[in-house]
Amino acid sequence: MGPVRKRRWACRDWSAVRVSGSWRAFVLAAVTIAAMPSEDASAQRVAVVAKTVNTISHGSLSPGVVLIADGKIEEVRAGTETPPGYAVIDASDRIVMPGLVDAHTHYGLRNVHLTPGRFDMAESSQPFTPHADVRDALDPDDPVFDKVRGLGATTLLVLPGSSNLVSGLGWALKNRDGGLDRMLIDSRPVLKMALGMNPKSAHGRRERSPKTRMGSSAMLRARFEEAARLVRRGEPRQAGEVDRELEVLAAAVAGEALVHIHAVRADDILTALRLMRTYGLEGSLGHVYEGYLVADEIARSEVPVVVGPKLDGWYRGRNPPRPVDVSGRLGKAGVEVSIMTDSYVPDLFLQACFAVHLGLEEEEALRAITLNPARAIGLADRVGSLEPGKDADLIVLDGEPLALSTNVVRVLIEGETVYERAATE
Amino acid sequence: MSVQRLSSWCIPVLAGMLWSGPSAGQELVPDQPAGWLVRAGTLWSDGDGFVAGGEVLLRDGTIAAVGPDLEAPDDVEVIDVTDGFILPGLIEAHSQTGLHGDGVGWDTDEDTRPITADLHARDAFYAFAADVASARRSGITTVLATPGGKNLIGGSGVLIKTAPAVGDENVVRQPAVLKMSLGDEPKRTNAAPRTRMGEVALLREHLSRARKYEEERNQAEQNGERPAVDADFETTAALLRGELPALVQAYTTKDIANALRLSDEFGFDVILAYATQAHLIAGELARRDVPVVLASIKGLWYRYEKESFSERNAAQLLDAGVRIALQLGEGNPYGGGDLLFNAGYLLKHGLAREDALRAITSWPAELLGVADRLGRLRPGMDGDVVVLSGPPFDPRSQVLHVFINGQRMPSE
Repeated sequence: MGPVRKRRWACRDWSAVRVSGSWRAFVLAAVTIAAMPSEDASAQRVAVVAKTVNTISHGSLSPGVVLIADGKIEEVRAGTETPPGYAVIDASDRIVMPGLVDAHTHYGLRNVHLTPGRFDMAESSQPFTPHADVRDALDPDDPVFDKVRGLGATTLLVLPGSSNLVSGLGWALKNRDGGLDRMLIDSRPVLKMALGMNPKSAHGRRERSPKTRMGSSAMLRARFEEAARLVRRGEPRQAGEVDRELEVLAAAVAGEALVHIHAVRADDILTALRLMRTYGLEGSLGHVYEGYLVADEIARSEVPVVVGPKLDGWYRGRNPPRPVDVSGRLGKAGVEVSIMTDSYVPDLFLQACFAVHLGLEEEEALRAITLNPARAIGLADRVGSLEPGKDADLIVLDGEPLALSTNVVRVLIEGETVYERAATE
Repeated sequence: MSVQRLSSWCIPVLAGMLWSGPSAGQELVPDQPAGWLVRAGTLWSDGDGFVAGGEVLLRDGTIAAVGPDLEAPDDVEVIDVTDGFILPGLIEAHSQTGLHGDGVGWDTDEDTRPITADLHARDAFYAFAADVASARRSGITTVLATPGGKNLIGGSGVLIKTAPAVGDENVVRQPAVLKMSLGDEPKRTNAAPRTRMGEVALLREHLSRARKYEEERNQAEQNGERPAVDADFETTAALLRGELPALVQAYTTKDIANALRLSDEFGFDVILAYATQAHLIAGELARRDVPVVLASIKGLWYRYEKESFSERNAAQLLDAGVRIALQLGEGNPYGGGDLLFNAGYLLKHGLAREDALRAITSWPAELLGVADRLGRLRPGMDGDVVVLSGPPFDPRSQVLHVFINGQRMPSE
């Protein structure tokens, strides 16, 4: 079948599944209270004066000033002058850049030491669980959020695992305190899908489909055909009229949810692109260790990719004879490349440094942890670069961004300082 | 005596078993000139610091001379890297490098019984494996290759060079350590043990029997009899004689304490590996002089028992006076095995630049007892040298040349 025309789907109300039942009122009240001090903070006008401001989108200014009002970036200007009425953050011997964006994590879904009973990454009881939603499992108090905040990550996409063909809905978060609803970003959710080994082993091993890549594709097409039919009918429907699984798939077909498809091997990458083309799915590919083998095809598709956590093309099963500059080769072919941590090694700068070590251009490496992932998850209008009108999410560094010894010394989210490195650290 | 005893039966067997031959596409060391003179902008070696205009002359497999302004003899080939850095060959003080096979199953853990003290990593180490080549390319010239951590005792570990060699010329020390593992992993592997009580009980039983075995052998020798050899206890008896240390993979303070208690009871030396909670008892480890091999980058996945993991543990242990070395470790996505890059990550977590270099050169050589041969650039030491295109720990720097035993490794 041909591509499905995208249309907004009138009845889609993600908030209906956001917080349900009796504790909704409680959560709302808690959120209101938690939000209050930050309202005060973000109402302030703040000027960050830096040795260098790297906007990512429009080059660097040395020295430079970022003016912040109401949690948004008002202006980025050269020099050190600050207008009256602004609280000044003196970073005049520091480098300022946008907060980092990690477009593929599982933070909060499993706690760091894998405590039994606290592993909520993958509802692997059946190959399709599109209606599973990370907001129902995510622990906002997982200490890992603090850890990665200190490493500069301000926007995180939290996704379900990859054991299912369709694993469920992931959501983008601002990495700040105050509870889940204060973290959640009001944007399109991201439907996590997976091809290749993971769903095959999670289900095939239990003597049920999919056991092969043929089975995986056939099952996905069958379900998405149904969803596409639903969307073509186009009538607004009430929740509950069709099954929730199909409803979520239809939302992806209708463009109300993005997709993020786990695809490691070159053939899985091509299958993912084919699925996206056929059903008009919008979104990104994840991992893509063999993406360099089909870089031109990916570039032609204009689908962005999120590479990692391994960046050198090595994965169990089919290692290349030597490390490959996966992200660099994709970038050179014209693919928009982001770098992920996958909650694996939590330091995006470390990941970017390793990509540079393998051959990625430094400027590209910085885009790959800021603006490119913001675009990949549909948030480029809010985060990923220092531009007027965007959220004032920025980080202050005590050295060059791509030096291994550099530390993040301050993190601002929407104008509010959410992390300051202690002097003793 | 015992190492000899061990070698007498195991080396010939091993040499025969190892040869499966390099196949097409695999690298062999090409023919070499009589020596190499390597010149670079800077040389670093523990004790000497950063030396401008550093030069190294390699001859007969060893370092013949070090210093600025060396004369180039006629028969040596000169390599000149103007802005380059010369380092001693890197040493990874604990790994399963070379035991992973090449796509046909892993050879890391014989996890059919909890104690396999009769095994030797040497028998599985495959010098032509991709991970060995990868380690070599990233500047690692020597690895301590040990069995994995599934068994309480996995077997002996071998200290071995990473050159693509067929015979035993790469072996620095065999057996180098007895690999032990405590805590969660052995509990989950075999039918027994199922608890930490079971772990210590089984180890104690084995160590007691090894002690008895040693006594009986000594008795037999005194009586002029030919003692019976039991492979199950040979390496452990050598451990009890103090000829090699136990390398104990343990994470929590509980498991570290169990290892120390057993070492007190039976009198053997311990080197800890992983030891993600070691910094919590740094003072005690310093007092006992128990060294720790740390994974600098610890993946957040795939491992229980890392509640207290902190990238600052290396700096904290050093501050307390504990000897450390670094390894790559599991859960590390840098599959290419780049130890230098991994060590560099600790710079932002409190480790000084020179200490980060020591932790992958001279310190592992010292704690594995081979500081007379490896880990520094000194005349008479093994010709293991790495040449970088730029400063160590700069992500843009690449490994340009690797020399092992004075031979330049295939350019890759």
